[in-house]
Amino acid sequence: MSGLYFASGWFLAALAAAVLPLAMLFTKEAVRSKIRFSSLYFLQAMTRPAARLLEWKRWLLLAARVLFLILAALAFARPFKRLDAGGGSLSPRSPLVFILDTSASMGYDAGDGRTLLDLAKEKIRLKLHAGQGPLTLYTAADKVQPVVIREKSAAVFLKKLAGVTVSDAAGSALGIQPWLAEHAQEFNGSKVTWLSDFSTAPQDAHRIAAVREVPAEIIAVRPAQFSNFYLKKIILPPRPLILGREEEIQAVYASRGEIRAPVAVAFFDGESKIGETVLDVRAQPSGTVKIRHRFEVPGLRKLSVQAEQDSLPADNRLEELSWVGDPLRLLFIQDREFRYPFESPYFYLSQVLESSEASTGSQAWFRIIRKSSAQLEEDDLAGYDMVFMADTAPPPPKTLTRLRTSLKSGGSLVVIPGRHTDPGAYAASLPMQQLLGGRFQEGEPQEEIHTLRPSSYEHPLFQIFKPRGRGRLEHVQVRRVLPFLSETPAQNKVLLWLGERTPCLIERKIGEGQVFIWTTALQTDWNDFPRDAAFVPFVFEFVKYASRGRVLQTLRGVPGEAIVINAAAEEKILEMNGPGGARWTLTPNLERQFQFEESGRAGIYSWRQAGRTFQKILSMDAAESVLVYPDLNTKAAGRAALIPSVNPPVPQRHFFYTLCWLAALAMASLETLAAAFQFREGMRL
Amino acid sequence: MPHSSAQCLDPRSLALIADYELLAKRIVDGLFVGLHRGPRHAFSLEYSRHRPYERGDPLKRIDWKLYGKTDHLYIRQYQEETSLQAWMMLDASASMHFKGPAEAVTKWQYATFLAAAFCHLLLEQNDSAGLITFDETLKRVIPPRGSRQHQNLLLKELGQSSGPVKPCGGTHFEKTAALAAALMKRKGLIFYFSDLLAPAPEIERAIHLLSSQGSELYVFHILSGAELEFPYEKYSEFQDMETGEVLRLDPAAYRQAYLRNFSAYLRDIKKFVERREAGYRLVDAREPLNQVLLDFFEKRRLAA
Repeated sequence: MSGLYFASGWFLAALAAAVLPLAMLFTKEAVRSKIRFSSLYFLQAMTRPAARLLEWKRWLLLAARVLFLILAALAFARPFKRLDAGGGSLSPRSPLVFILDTSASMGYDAGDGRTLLDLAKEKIRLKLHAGQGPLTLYTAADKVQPVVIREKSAAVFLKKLAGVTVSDAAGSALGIQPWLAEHAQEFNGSKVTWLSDFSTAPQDAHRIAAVREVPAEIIAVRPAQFSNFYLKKIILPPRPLILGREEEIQAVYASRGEIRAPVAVAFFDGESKIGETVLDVRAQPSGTVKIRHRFEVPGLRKLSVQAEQDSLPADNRLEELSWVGDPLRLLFIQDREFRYPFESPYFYLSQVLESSEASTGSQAWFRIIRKSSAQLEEDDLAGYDMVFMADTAPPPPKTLTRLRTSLKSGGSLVVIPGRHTDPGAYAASLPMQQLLGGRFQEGEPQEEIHTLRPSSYEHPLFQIFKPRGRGRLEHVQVRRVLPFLSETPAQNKVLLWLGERTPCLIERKIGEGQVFIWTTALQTDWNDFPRDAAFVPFVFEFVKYASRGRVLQTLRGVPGEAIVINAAAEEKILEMNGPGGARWTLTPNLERQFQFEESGRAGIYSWRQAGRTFQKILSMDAAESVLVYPDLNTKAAGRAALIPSVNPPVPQRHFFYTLCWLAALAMASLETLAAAFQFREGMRL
Repeated sequence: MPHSSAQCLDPRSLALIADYELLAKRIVDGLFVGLHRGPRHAFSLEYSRHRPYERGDPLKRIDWKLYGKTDHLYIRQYQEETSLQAWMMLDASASMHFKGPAEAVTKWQYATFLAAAFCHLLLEQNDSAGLITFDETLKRVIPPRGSRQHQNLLLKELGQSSGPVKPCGGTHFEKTAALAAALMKRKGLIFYFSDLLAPAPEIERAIHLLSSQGSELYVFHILSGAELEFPYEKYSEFQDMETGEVLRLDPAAYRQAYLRNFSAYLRDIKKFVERREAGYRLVDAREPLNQVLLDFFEKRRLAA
């Protein structure tokens, strides 16, 4: 068995298990009770003929058990032959397999005008020698792809190698490690070499470094020193960009190493350049760069920022989608005059919206219009992004019918109760009931103390509260509630709960639009919400969420990170747009949380869902990546000596394992038979 | 606080009494508590003939049944009315020193209790009693006598020999029976106390030898509850108390077969003994002594 590698957890555990029957036997021997009996005359009469045989059987059974466990252990352990460094026992004619990292970071300028990929190609050329075996080349970026398979001609191989270019996709050793393990059998008898810069996102570094046994020789292709400029983030206003107004776009940048030349940063709207700034990075290695631009074309725009003079091209371009259009139109229905402004049910809501406008100094991105129910009879309701009905009686049926029609094409209706809300009037209005999918419970509001609890922090409305940095919704105390009785619970989705059972905010989809039903007023005599730190960010998130999808829900991540989509039950198909015009049709299959995993490339992944546009921006931050296997540059030879572990030839190994399993099965059968016989005979081990 | 006879004669309580004279007295006294018939003619022996009643004869000797039939008073006469010779034969092999897991006395102790009681009864009514203990050969022989001193000697001997005894080989039933039979000059009563753990033919030959002398043989087959029920559960190492031989086995798995074989063996023994017209009583070492004694006397009464 020498030369076989057995350091497998399975094998050791199973081997330990094999000791178990022995230990049990000897323990049993030790603890067996001794009985002085008057006469063994009758017992011997029964056992004498079988005693010797049974003793043999007992030992045989023990041997079978031990053997069974050892064989099962062997079959599990899948021991393989361990070879010396550099493929010691591989012949010079053994096939050579190269796995070449072509991820974006391999495009880094190594200093002499050559990229890391060029260096890697050079190292591959040096590995070739006269009379070598067939040559195989795989490229690995976001996925591993074959380029050359078992090519006998070195010339053909080198030609194809020269044609390999850097991908704009991110790659990670984390993805290649399992691929190598999976294909280890396929490469039996081959010398496998993996060439990469081994840079990765910081969060993955420790996971990669944890895998110490890689069935390949590793060649690290590293520059002497990284020195690059990189863009980290585009900052756009958290709202639609207003058509015809001058808007500010910012980009955050950073740099590493010494960059002497000035760096030009260009801003693009789609493909057209809308501004450029030249930075002296030596004077300011990190900071923000901004431009002002007036957008003249409405709709969904792709804005991008790019630094042309970077040594790592793929991580110097950032993109983000934004909606360009008119300011949002918010309609507050108000049928009553109030003596003091704070008596108005819109007081805190409008305070927040208007004060933010004043404090930021920016131009309004929404317009608040106040009208009475009577005025709505003549109004074209389709022009509003959000209609608020706070503490009012239900509008006349005709108005409600028109409101319903307008909601179907987008926009939101927000119903908020108040001290003058008459549940009976809501119950009596059939169009209102149909619109809300239920009615308010008749009687006085309930006086109970509750706290707010979002249904999920993954929901776009509550994602900003997930880090708990902007106030905690759980701290908000609600004292008065007008319960809402949903007649169609399947369509009425609770977004916010009061405690465990009472809904606080219900969302109901009507065509492209939606209805939001509050069960508590946004007033201080009903709850503490307007006084809480969470109220201001919540109102903005609420307006963005409810306003016809004209404010994009933006998420950020790194390439390779799965995009989690919370699909509604009725959404059977989703269209996903990826970088470079890639498109996918997704079928969530009624899974509430669907994971999109083909997110290896940096860029924008956008999809439209429930009348809103979502975007997840995956940026690489490759220059920020840490180096895994940092000792590879200096100890490559020593390291390589430890790493190559090539399994014995496949057919031989399969035969061995199959034999192990068959023998183990035979042993198990024998054991079962013996146990049955033994039971009958009355002997137990 | 008065005790019932059953309580008094429970082996557990008797095991606490070291003085066999006291023990025998307690057994005998306890045995007849509440019985209308006196004990003294229990061993009175073989019926001989009737004779007409004469003045001065004890009234209790009148055969009232015969009077009912004939209207004449007759007295029952017995042979050797005052000189009965009884032998207590006790198996003192190692197996007799076995007791089950929850038992108070060994089979040997139980046998000595019974023997002591019989000795006491016999000697109290001026009969004579002797003692033979045996294993592979005769170990101790005390010829029958009828004196008070002899009673003390017998009871002392029984009391001394009830201590722990180490395994001392097997039992030669046939050989010891032949030797004992040679010692018995007169017809009499033989009380045979043993566990009879030997092949059935050997037992049969021993019974034959003893009963063929003309003496009345009464076999007390004393067994432990553990031997009768084989209550062991765990896989254990069983050591023969007589031979020291060891057998490892799972008793639970063997129980059914053991009990089946043991029952067959008991049936055989009983059959052999009864074929020789000897008395037989299977004694469980857990049962009260009075039950055994009463059964004996009842059997004697019926025989008479």
